[in-house]
Amino acid sequence: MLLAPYAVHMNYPAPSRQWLLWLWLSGLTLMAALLAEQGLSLGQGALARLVLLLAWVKGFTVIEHYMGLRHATRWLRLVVHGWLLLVTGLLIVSFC
Amino acid sequence: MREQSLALIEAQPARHVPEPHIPGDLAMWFFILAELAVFGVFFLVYGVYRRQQPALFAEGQTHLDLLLPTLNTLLLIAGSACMVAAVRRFAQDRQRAARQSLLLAMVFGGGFLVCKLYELVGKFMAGISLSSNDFWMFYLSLTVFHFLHVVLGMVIVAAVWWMARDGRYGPGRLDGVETAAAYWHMVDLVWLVLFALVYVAR
Repeated sequence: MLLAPYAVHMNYPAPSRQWLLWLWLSGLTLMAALLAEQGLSLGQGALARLVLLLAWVKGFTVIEHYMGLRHATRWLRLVVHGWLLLVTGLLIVSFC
Repeated sequence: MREQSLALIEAQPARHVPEPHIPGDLAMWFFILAELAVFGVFFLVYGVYRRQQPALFAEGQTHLDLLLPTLNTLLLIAGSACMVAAVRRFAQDRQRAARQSLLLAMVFGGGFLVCKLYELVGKFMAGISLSSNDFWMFYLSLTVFHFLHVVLGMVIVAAVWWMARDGRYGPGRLDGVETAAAYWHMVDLVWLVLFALVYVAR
């Protein structure tokens, strides 16, 4: 019981993991920008769908690890992930 | 056999499994959910309009330079990373280091605002306004609306930084910092979708 308040920092990633998360999110961002700059002939709307998929992956990471919702009450985790999935999913469909 | 395996489990050192927990203030989470709903509707309406006028939107996007918004995405991500570091450092009672992380988050946020302002001023100078066409109407209203959220995020982080000067936050007293961090991450999350949709998805 005495330890409980001190355990809260376990909900947040350790420094080494923080660097990895930062690299992962920044890397995906650069990848999206490079893909767009290359102007690849991926076919109608394919680049847009790919980039929105990358946005979902990044958003998923932010929700789980930065917001710390992986340790949160289930309803909150579901609502925020549901929001991201619904928005990016419908936008991806809009480019089909 | 069963008893044996139970004994084995008990022999393992207890691994910390965090209790389900709401990071920060519940009222802030309701505010965040309302904000997400507003941005979500905004994005979907953009999607509908773009589908109806794909050529107009594609033409508009050719006038958007990718360099600044990519840099801005990196700045917001770096700011979010600093907020995570700040919360963890407060949880470990490393006051000085935690406040430094907050300061660094504000530096990155400030960088975002400067780049965004530069981009927006450029667009206004080029004679682009809300009434130019549907693409520019969405571009301006979405990015300005988001800009205001970054400003509010900066104000919240600055307030936490100021209040932290006499050790208000620490192990077991994280609510204020977690609340500020949650808001900041929401602003980041919304930007990730906005960046992909408005700037990159062509």
